[in-house]
Amino acid sequence: MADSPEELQKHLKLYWIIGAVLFGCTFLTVGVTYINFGSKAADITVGLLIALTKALLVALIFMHLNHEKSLIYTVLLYTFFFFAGMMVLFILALFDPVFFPGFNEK
Amino acid sequence: MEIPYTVKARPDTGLWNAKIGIWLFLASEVMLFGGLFSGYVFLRLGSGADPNYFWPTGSLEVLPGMINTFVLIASSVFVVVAWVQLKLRNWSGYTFWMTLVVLCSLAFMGIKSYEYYGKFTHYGIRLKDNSYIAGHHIDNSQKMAEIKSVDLDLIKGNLGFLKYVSSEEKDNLTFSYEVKLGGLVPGEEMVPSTPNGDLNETIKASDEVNSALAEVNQLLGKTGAAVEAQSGVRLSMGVLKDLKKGVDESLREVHDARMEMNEEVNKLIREHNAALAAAKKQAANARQKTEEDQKILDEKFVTLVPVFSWNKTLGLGTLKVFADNPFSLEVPHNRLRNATDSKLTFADFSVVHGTRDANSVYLHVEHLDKLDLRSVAKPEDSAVFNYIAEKAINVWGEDTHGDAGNGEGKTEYGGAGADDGKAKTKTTEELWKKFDKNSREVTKKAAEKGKEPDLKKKLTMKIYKEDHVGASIPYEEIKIYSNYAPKQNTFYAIYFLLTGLHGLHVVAGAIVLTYFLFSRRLYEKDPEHLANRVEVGGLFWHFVDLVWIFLFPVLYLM
Repeated sequence: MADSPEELQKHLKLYWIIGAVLFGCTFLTVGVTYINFGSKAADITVGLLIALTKALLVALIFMHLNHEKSLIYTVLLYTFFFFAGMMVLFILALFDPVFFPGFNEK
Repeated sequence: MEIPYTVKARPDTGLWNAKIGIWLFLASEVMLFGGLFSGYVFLRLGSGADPNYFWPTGSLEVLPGMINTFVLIASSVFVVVAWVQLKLRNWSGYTFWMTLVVLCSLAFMGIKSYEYYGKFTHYGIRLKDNSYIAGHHIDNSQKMAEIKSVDLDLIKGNLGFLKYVSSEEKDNLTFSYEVKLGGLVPGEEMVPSTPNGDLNETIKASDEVNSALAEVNQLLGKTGAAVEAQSGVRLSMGVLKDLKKGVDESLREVHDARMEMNEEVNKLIREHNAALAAAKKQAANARQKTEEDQKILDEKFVTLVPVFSWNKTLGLGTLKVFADNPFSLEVPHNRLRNATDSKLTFADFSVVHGTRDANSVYLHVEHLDKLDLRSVAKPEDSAVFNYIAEKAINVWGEDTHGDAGNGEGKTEYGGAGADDGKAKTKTTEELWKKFDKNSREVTKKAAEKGKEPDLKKKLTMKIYKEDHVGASIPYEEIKIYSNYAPKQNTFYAIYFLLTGLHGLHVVAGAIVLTYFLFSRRLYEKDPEHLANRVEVGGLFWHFVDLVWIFLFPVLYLM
């Protein structure tokens, strides 16, 4: 952790730059919704990738995860494992059979 | 008790305690929001299975969401700058940036409240043929005029209808003839009438029962031994006395209840008579009142005469209230169990008898802003077009208005056109010509690519607010309608859950950071301790920002 005034001032500058990048990414997030990337899935993927970039910037720079103690990384590793598990749970639902008598194609 | 390791790192973890604490807490928060995001994905994928439900992509206004994203990002920068100021031992700099953080949280919640308000005043209506329209400013009131009587049940105490008679409860409701009562206002000379429950008659009846029982006693006393021998049951005068005592007690209870009720009614009458007298005195004192004003004043008061009727078997009382001067009232549709042309049944089962306003059979929408026919079997025959009150409809971003608003066969606001059968109005004809043209183009382009035409995409129409298109739809044509609250559909259920929970986090974070703003004493005592506290609060605040970074595109853009 930077504790000397010089280092802190240097970090201060970085925070402002990251803030500006996040602002830019927000414009980008909205902007890409006007672009057709070929399919809905592709559109969503692009949107989520930008969001992920923003989230990483916040976590690494603002939350200082770019230089943390190993214990915190261990905690976050477990968190990520279970979080990722929840995010792929829906795949199971894709195999659920659904029946609609007189089904109307969308 | 001194809490250890608030500034210095613990030798085993290498971290001061609050730091490891906040990260464990944030890990649990990740799981909480992760579960909800997972639920969102399930709901969204599940919606694809229902042919009549389309995930309402893009139904949220992007601008407020985008502004809130900027606000949260800015606050995230400010909080980390405030922390640096503390590390630099610059108290005034710290308070400046932290104040901005708190102001950002207020701005965020303000914008969020604006959004929520917009949702709660926005209505979605699905017709029985699955046509879907949305709009603002609905009038779902049921107007009943010429009300001469109301059925009440004293046991249930169902006086709910009164608040719709009372003037202060219906500021937003209007009807041609208004009853301003401020509660029930009986007439000056009113005397409660109890035709079926006269106290003297009841007492007389009690005496008759007593004498009849005495006769039975006498008879049974004479033949008691014979009856006992035949039936094998021993009868005693004690049993008969108990029976008589029971009857007496029941009758006495009825007397008491009736006396009590009469007392209540008389008290009510006295109070309201006094109120009426005061109102009239005040009116008389106002010398400038014209004859017409006086007439209006008189019309504002209705004499309600309560008449009791008793259920002889159960001994329960019901109250029928008769009005000497017929009055009107207006009730929101969702406060009623049932509405017919001659009576309204309230949720509490009180029944108002009168004449229903012809307009009350329609749900009126002042401004339509969306028309969605994707789930309709034959969109060109959608029932919606019988009830749209047209001025202009702008479809697919192109103006189809022309002179349609002046055309013959225009559907009148109020649903009059509903009786004209299925004939389309001029604008709707133009609209469908446009649809035909577009659909032919889509079909042609799809054929060129060797694909099936996706005509369903052409069936979602945006109607611009400035065109002032409204509709009056008969309730019997409506499958379901509600505002854009969680009950509207699964999207709004998860939208309110996610954003509501996130909003609570914003409030909680703002409270904690505001508390740190007033921690001057700790700063003077141990500035590093306060810096660590702010770092922990800041970590939470960044997490709140991080959640929003995903919520914004997922809910508003995708």
